[in-house]
Amino acid sequence: MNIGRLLAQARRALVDFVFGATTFEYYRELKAMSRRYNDAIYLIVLGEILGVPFLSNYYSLRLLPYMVGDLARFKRDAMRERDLLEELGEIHVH
Amino acid sequence: MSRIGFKYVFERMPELRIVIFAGKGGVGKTTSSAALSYKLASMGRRVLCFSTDPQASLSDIFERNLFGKGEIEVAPNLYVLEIDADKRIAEYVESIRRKIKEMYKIDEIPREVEDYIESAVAEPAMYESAVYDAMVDVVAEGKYDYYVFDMPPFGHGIRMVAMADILSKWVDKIFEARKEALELDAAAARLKGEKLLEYEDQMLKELEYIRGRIVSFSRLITDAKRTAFTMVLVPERMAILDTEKAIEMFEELGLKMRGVVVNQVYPPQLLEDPRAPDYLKKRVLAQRPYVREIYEKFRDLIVAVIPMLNREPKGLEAVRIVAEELWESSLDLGALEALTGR
Amino acid sequence: MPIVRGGQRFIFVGGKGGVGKTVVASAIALDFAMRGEKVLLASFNPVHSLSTVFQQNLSGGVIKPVEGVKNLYAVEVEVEDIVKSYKEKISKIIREFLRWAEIPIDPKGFIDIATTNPAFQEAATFDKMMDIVLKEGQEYDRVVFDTAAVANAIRLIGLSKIYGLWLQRVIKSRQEALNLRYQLSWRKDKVLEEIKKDPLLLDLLSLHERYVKVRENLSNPSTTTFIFVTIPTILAISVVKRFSDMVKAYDIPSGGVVVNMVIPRSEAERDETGFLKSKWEEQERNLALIRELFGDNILGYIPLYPEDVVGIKALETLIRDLEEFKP
Repeated sequence: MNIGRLLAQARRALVDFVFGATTFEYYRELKAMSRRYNDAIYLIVLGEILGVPFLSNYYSLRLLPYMVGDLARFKRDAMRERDLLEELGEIHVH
Repeated sequence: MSRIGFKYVFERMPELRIVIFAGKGGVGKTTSSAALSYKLASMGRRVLCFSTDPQASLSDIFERNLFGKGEIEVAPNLYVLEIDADKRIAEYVESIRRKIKEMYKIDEIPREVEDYIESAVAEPAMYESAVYDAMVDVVAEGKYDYYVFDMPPFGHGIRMVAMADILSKWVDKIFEARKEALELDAAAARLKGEKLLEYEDQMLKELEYIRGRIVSFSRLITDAKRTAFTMVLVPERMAILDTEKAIEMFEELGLKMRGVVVNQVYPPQLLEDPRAPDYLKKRVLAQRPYVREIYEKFRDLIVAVIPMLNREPKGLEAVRIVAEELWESSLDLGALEALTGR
Repeated sequence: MPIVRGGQRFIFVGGKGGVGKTVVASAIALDFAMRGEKVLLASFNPVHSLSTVFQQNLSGGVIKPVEGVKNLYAVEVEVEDIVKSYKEKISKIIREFLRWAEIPIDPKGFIDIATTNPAFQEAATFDKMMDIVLKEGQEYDRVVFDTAAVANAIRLIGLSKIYGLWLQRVIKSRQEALNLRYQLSWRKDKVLEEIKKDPLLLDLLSLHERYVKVRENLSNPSTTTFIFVTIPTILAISVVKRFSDMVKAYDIPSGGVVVNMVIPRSEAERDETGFLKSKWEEQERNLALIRELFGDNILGYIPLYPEDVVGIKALETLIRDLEEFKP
């Protein structure tokens, strides 16, 4: 049994426990913002995949491999969030 | 000084290594680049003559099939490269496909990704970009003393300069956004005591590589000491307008055009020659106002004048003749000035 | 008999830079107009030359009647307005995207990089060409297009095949994306309403509809023909040959070759400077090659004139020579 690994696991469990609600919220916000910056990039480079006719260029292809993994997530988010925000907007107004 | 020719350009620019000939179709860019390459090679220097023209005219000029065959020595020290851009693009795309398969451990590219690739390849500017990218490679390899390029005849013949600028902004913007995203990720990760995935840094590395290529390319074409960017034109209205437009574009981008080569000028002696028929004399006279216009508009930029040849500029012999004129023009500024005289 | 005899409505004139496409296109247009047909001459040259040939101001991107010729109209096409309207559309899309994403990124930078693309001029030119085929095509008996350098002409027509495929792919992607949106949504009927009115999809669909109509016209040899202009130098011939091969690959109806700037034998014989004579000898060899390559497809020869072809009189001479001049 690897002591190092056990300790790392224990430490992680502790962090997760101690990780309070507010910090978690903050963490989520940061990750969400980061996703959105990436989404802006994906839109410019891969817009076509959403049916947005941006013209690509020679170097777009070099970036493509790094985006393939996130593609499904990007599409979902791009097509979903508008709905969500509108929902929230409507609830707010009423 | 009234004397003109590339001999004097090289004297004024001791670090000159790259000469680029631009201009619209049919003015003699490719012929000029073949000729200058020939001259430099004949002086014992290793020269690469690289054509970006998709119409494969170097093969026609050197009377050999050079297309897509790599760097071929057509005369001592004179190497010619007529790249098959389509092949280069196909290889590039294949390498991207391979990379995707490796990264995600898949055997087949997802359909929508494949669709994207196919669209990207069909893009009109893809061809030019592939060629410019090849230029960067070739110069980086450093195998030659001199590089002579001709430009594709698209748009105003200096589109590559504008393209470098556009691509540069593109990569900077994406780089910026990516850095923001990574910084946010890093902050989030620190909260959790986690480490960022290695994977994420790779895109930034890729962006840095791309930026490096674009910068190399920009430097290649705008280096005031090592590169001479020259426009070729003929004494015709459209060519003159095009040249003016190109110089304007150059200035807008903050660059300097090194010079202008005036091609296909009828030797003025023809007018005095009793053996010349009226028909020929009329042609000489009809050209004159344009020669005048060129002298008046571009006098300070004229680096060489190539006279109208009495033969077609193909084959090594013809190339040799043009080479001598490019190096030290028999029609110098004094002769041109005389033509503008009343 | 008119220069172009197949009865086609759309005539494209192409060739390498410097071979005289504009002059030949102008002559063909004038020829029809003089025979009583209503003709539109459209120039897609980035540096417009119709104004020079007809010695009047034909620039500005609008159709103008040509003074001195009944039935002849001309337009020096500008693509700046299309480029501008595309940029506006893209700006809107990006702004919307960035807004819902709540990113504090200045949209202008992104809009700039998304909308400045050198390929753009080509796409815009193609779009304008489609417009003319669909709209003016119905209002004129003939439309003669003076295209830019060879590569652009190919893109203008040949790449229409690829453009069509691309458009189909983008439409499919959009439909799938919208479908995904529907799947993910909670208020399905509301979203369905919006999807039906999705401006991007509607735009793409109408673009596709236009494209299909244009393509029908362009690949139909009874409505469209492509004329190549070449000059008798070996450099230009190989270009036409390659062009000709590409045209076959893209199913474009080829209408023949015009050989321009031919030194007349009589002048060459009179020349003792050797200037014309040696060029003429070279020319003879190249003409033989042209005949071999294009045989019956040669529409005619035009002599190399001492002066530029400028003005209607000169064009009339050219039309006559095209019919009668033999090298």
